[in-house]
Amino acid sequence: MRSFFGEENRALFVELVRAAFKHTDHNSVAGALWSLLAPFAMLSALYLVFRERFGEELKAYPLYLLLGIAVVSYFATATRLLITILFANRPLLLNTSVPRETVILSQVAFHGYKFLVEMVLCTLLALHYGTLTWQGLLATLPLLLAFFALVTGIGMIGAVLFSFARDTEHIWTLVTHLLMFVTPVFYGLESLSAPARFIIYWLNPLTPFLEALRGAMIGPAAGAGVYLHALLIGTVVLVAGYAAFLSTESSAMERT
Amino acid sequence: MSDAVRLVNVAKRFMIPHTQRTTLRVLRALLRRETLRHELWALEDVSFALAPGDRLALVGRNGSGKTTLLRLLAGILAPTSGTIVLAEAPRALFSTTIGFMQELSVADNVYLFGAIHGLTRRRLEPRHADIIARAGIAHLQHAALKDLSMGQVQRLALSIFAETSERFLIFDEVLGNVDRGFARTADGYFRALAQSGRTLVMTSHDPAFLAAYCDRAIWIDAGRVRLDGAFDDVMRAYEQSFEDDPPVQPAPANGAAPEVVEPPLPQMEPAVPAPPAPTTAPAGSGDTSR
Repeated sequence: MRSFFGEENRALFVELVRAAFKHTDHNSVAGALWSLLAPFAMLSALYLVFRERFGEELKAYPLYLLLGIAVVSYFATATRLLITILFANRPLLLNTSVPRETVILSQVAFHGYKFLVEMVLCTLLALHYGTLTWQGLLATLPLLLAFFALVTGIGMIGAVLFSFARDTEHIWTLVTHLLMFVTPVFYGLESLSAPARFIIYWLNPLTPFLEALRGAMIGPAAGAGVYLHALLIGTVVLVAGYAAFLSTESSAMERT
Repeated sequence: MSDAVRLVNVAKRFMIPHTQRTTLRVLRALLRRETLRHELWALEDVSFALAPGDRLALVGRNGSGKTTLLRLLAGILAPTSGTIVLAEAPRALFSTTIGFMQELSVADNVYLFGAIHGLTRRRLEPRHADIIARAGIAHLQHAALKDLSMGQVQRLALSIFAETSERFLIFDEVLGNVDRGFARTADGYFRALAQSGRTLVMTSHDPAFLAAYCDRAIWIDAGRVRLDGAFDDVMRAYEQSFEDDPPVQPAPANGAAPEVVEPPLPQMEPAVPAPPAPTTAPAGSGDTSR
């Protein structure tokens, strides 16, 4: 098996991402814009429906919504794809010596591109609203890294679970559909009752990220506890996911 | 000289599920301490060594464990027990169709397939035109791969893979659908490999193909090494093993009366004169042997 950090593997990573771009409509500017249509359609619908209910009390509500939609959509799309990645790429992984992590990371990166484009649009919106500061922008970078770590870690755990039980995919699809409602995408945590707020903050790993990201881009800045909570979740989930993946990848691959 | 490859008592076990696994079935099995899988030993007690420059043919029937053994050598699978020591990591070509993307152009697929087989874009870029030309599809370099025939894809795959410079190469049944023209090109490539002093391990169901490049063979039978030795000796024994195989008969055509297979008539043999009947049979003389 080739070295994960070697030149060949880095080149492989780049080629896999490049091929994924060329394979989809991202290979053209119009295609990339087309893929952004879904989040903006969602943004428009949520804004029209909830503007009067939540828009008054939440600052820069369109930006608030777009951040929530971008985070939840990327998380849902990427993790759903990663859960079946060993199965979908079985011929490749059983007939070549490509590191399995590279295939996983290439998919995280490919879908992460669209998420990053949405983050750039959020940054432009934040500039428009005058809510972005240098400190906020700098604080965003570690949060995004931790978020990618969270997605990768959960994807790896999901890929291992899928090899044990095939309905993991269906269960996870159901969970990700619920995420749009159990994550403060269009409402604020403050609008919830104390027990609901506790559950949604502590049991939904996306909530600390979203709170910290919104604090950095819209303000007021989230407390250090929220920020550290988000970074810690990303790191711990990645380490746990990678450990689970490493210890079971061979048998998972054979079972898949 | 130290070995290029050494396998000692290598075994590989797969756990085959009995049933489609769902979360509830897995949880129930855990609670009841049942197992949803059974063991399948694909390889058992496989030991052999290759010196640098050895050219080994792995032969065996379908499902005998050849590809599993190659995957172990390539590091794709890990052995369940035993030791595999490699002086150098091999480069393996298991399939000439896996590693391409059908929607991409031939030109893009050269880099993708190359990267999957350890060849960087930097290394392939100066050779790009030659690789496509060698595959005989220069006029198709901007076509999508899906528009190529299977044989053309195989030619492209082998043409890209020929750029590898590793000293240990593995080929698993890679020349299936190529035409005679490319078979001749491929023959030149494999002959050059065979003379280059590289270590080769190949499988094929075509004995003539293996005979052209290999000087040693291992016959794998039901996951075990049945015979290891000079190519001709092993192949002779392997070919003989097919002689007892029953032929597969086609089913009767629709509407045709089912063929009645009558048992063969007993051979007519000259009657043996009956021995004179004993007048009194001794008690307990039940011996019927003649």
